[in-house]
Amino acid sequence: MLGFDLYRPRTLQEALKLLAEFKGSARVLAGGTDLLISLRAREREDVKNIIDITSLRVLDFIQEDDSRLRLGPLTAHAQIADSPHIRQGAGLLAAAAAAIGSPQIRNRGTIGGNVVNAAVCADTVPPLVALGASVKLERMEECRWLPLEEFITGPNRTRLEADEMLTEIAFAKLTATAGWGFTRLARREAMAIARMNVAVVLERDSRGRVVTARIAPGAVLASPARIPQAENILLGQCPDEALIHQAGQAVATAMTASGSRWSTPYKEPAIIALTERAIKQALEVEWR
Amino acid sequence: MNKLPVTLIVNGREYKLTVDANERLLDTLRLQLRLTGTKEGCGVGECGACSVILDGQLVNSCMVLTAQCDGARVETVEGLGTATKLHPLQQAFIDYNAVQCGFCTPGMLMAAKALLDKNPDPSEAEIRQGLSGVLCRCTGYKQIADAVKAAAREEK
Repeated sequence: MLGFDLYRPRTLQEALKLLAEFKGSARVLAGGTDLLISLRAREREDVKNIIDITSLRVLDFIQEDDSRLRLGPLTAHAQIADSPHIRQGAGLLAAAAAAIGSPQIRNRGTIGGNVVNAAVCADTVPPLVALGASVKLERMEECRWLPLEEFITGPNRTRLEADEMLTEIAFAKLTATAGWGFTRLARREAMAIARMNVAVVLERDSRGRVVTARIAPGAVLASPARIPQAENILLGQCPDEALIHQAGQAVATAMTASGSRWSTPYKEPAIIALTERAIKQALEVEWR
Repeated sequence: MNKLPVTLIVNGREYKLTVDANERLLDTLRLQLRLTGTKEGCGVGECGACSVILDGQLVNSCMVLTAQCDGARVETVEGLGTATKLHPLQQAFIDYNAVQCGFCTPGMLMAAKALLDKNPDPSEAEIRQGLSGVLCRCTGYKQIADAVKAAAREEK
């Protein structure tokens, strides 16, 4: 493991002060499921100081008001998967959190870490994008909010400045009539990183026509985004098998827009099927 | 690199330690406390051989810094039973031949204990999920799941 100095601030203010002082040589340590591995692999020679925030309980919360859900960045995946608030108001996020790693990883890994690490395969990111989540970034005596899609700019890249810390993730709760889907493909059922995943939120009017569609695939784009071309195919329609397939194809087209790889012939039909299944889940239609 | 004071309660016994900033809980347990029941397998959180229970939660001790655990309670396989009085899980692992090479066994036992602590009457699916973070390469999953089921019955 790389050598570093470790700091255990007692308050958020103290942690932000340390970040400001260290000017980029420090990293925030939460669950450690990504950072400790890269430090041990000596991939992060630039990191000289570690600021352990695991004891800042003020960053560990799930709060619900009339319309919104607010999550502290230290909320562990297991807490999200088990939370009645999240299961009811953002079921796709609970489903994604439950699919991550193993019980050990879910007990330790945090949603803030998942977002800031910004791996393309991060399972909580597509649901958060489909939920329209924003992130709160704090520095000494200043804070700003960014939509998650703007915050993550590429693989493992974000707009987080060296003296900033992610302190909250917030989004509007799904309405009681909204349907959601989350599908995921990995090499095995448990303890595997997602090769691809898809999050879908759909709302329909009383006649079954789609009035809101949000489709966010993961691990197929350089940075997280919704696919309006796929959403527009469903909007205003009562989706049938053909339309759902078209929406899946639109996601595949968005995936291949940035070029083809050796894996593309496999991934194209797979992402179409994952999208179709997520849409059908959201429509509460049985698939096999 | 700095050193930090840490108080740990391991298997009910309190230890006041000084640890390096980058020392993993796994290393503290094995090298400082000589509790070598906890094993290091992959060192990257994939295999679960190093699983321990930290403040009631199952974690990979290779992915936790000891300095993050000040004041925490840690349960390791050494705290389960004694040579003369085995824990029901340990007895069940013997009865069901759920041990082959033995390297994953401490992790399996702690994963099973964490599961039964929260859910004393798990279904087959819940047992499989509870053990999903520990790899056995002798392919003994069936016997292990059966042993956990039997231990759950025993404890009832």
